[in-house]
Amino acid sequence: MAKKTVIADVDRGIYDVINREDHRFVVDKGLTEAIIREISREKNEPEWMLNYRLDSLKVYKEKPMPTWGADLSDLDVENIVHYVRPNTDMQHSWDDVPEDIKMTFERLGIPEAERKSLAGVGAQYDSEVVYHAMRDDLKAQGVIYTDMESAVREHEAIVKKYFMKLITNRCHKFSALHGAVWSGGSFVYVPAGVKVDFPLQSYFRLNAKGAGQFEHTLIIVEEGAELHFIEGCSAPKYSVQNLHAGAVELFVKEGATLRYSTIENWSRNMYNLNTKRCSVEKNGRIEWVSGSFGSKVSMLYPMSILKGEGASSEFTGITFAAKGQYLDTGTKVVHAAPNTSSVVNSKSISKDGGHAFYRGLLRATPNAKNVKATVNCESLMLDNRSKSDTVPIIEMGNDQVDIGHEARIGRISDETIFYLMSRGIPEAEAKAMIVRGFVEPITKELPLEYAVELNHLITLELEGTIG
Amino acid sequence: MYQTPKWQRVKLEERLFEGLKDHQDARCNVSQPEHHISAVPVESLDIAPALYIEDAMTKHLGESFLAYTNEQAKNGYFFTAKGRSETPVKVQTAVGRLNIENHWIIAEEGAHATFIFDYSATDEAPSKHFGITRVIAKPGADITLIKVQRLGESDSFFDQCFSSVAEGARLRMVDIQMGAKTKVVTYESHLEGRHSAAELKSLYYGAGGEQLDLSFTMRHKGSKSESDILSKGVLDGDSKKIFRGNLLFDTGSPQSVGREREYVTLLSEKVQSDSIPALLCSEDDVIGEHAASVGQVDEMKLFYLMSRGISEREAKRLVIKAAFEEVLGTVADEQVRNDVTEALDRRLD
Repeated sequence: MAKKTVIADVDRGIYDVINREDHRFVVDKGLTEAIIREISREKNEPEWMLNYRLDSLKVYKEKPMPTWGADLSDLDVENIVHYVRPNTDMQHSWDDVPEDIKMTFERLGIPEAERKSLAGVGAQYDSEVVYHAMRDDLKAQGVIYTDMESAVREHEAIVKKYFMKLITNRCHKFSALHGAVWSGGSFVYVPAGVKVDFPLQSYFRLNAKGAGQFEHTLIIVEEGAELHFIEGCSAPKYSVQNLHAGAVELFVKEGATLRYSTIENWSRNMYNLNTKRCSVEKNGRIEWVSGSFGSKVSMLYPMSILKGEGASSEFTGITFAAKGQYLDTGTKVVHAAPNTSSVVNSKSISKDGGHAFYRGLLRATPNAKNVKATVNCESLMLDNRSKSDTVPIIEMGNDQVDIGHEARIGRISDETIFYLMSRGIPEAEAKAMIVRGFVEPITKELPLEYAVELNHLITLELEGTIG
Repeated sequence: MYQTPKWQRVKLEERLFEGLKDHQDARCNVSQPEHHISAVPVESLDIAPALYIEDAMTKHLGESFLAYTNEQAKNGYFFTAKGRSETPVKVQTAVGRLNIENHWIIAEEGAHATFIFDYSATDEAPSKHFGITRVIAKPGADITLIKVQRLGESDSFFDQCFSSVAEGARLRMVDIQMGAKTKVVTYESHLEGRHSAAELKSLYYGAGGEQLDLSFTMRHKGSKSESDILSKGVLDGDSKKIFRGNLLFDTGSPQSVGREREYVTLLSEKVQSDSIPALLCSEDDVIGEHAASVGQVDEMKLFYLMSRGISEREAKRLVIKAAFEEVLGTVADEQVRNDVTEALDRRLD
């Protein structure tokens, strides 16, 4: 009889705190033109934005539901409240944020993060950003970090140039939905040559029952600039299904570098149907660090479009699927220019009937000569009630490519355990060491606070029980 | 009415199955098998009760292909193997304008046999081949199945092979695709029994505007089962290839090992090479691995050969032939090896 390590579920304790709902403005359930107009009016948006929303609504109604991947038949979009505004205006001092909202964030460690002098924190609660602050020296250098609504009004020219240009409302049904009802999110603009030496952070959190979150993140890193942006997501647990259909658009200009880190821990009733894309120009670089732990269903494939010569991308991802979760994650890399390179490292763990699915695409267009790419997928299964699937698609459009791909699925090998045990390490500790080592490539990519949070999130009960 | 499947990656001609069935003019010649192998033409048998075999299998080529081939086939044999046979059974088919065939190989307990299917073109062009082969390997059987396709440049070849491997049985498959404009090949093996094993070695050459669609599936159902897929190919001209390798581990297949490897050599900048390797796993105590590499002919090897005074063209030829040799060397029949080498030489010129 083979012995197995049992690893405890993510401890959700502090993440599943529900606050009393107290909103000044909630739109009716369902999606109609009147609702879109109401959202736009409430946000005091320019005409072009309203028109874009209405166009998106039209596309949304016409587009079919995706027929692959997760089963979305339980998702009733008409019943999700698309816009919920918390009963507070934007605050610039932490002390002015209402007590219960503040408590939630404090539980999640947001102010601590800022006290540790991180460059800036934006926290989104339900659909609006409630708190934003950034170090003054960055402001002086021309770095803009604000919420999307303010950006639409105050930096209209830049927003208009980039907004929904990479992810259009015609990409798929949920990008159309996003275009129609988007609300909140972060806007970051880093001028040419500015190197932001501390990570900027933003935290999303859903509190209202049955509310969808459709935040839009737009980041532009100009020529030669550098930025690290961290996004964290956590929502309390509700019985009514929640939908998250955000959009992240990243523009990395010539010679610029952007690192985009996400730790996602939505509650287990969330449909996380997020779209993320990055365009990388000549000699630019995008680095994704992605952790998917929460949600009931995730379909998330951050895409890197290497469109300038010498552009590069790196994706480091971990997915942990536990009981009742179907996490369909991966990444897409399109090599659309010569001398581009990419690295994908994906890890997944499934346990207790969870289903982890890696779905990836690696494409080199006919003109993308001299491409170098490697894809590595590793999956760890902790029991045989769980499922782990890997489907990496590779499409090569010319002969000047050097592609390496490896995928492995398996469990903790008995031989490794035996080796460690022969060195005097107890079995449970040996297994724990191996799991920790498996997750390590991700934790080491994160700043300390987030690495701690990630560990907190997993709270892998590493002493392991034998059964 | 048989509908042409609509595929995203390989474009098939309109009305693929129409207006041809009365022109089945393929000629099939079976070498005299040893006494413990019987060969009965399927035309004389009622095959309907045996069609259950593919029920659990994926219909990669579509229901129309399956129905068409099952209903219209005039060619094919029902082989039953018992005991140990040393000489391979050779089934040589001159495809003519149209060949629709249905073969069965039933390997009784402990049977040991090799079957070679060789498809060649006649002067009739274009030729079309639609074929299904089923292999039932009963406990302890050891079966080798070799398929060699050497059709002409305007021909098409659609072939599907279903196999079921019982406890302790072993199935070795070799698929060599040298000719044809459209090559669509599917193999699916179900490793039903404990300690069952299946391996598939695939070789192909694509040039001009040729299209290749290769789907290889190994489904592990029994414990301690083993599978191995190895695909090696060369793409030239503006040829297009799709490789789908599926390794499935069902719950109840602990301690199974499945591997798939794919190596593609690209000789032209206009080629399109797609790969979709899937590992689908519902059992934790297994090893599933996939590795792929796509690239040009190894520069180090070329450099070495060229530094010995061999021209670049000849050096590339040698490197490719050496790569093919790994698979070709396992083919037991000398005639087949020579035919393939000759076809490869012709294509590399």
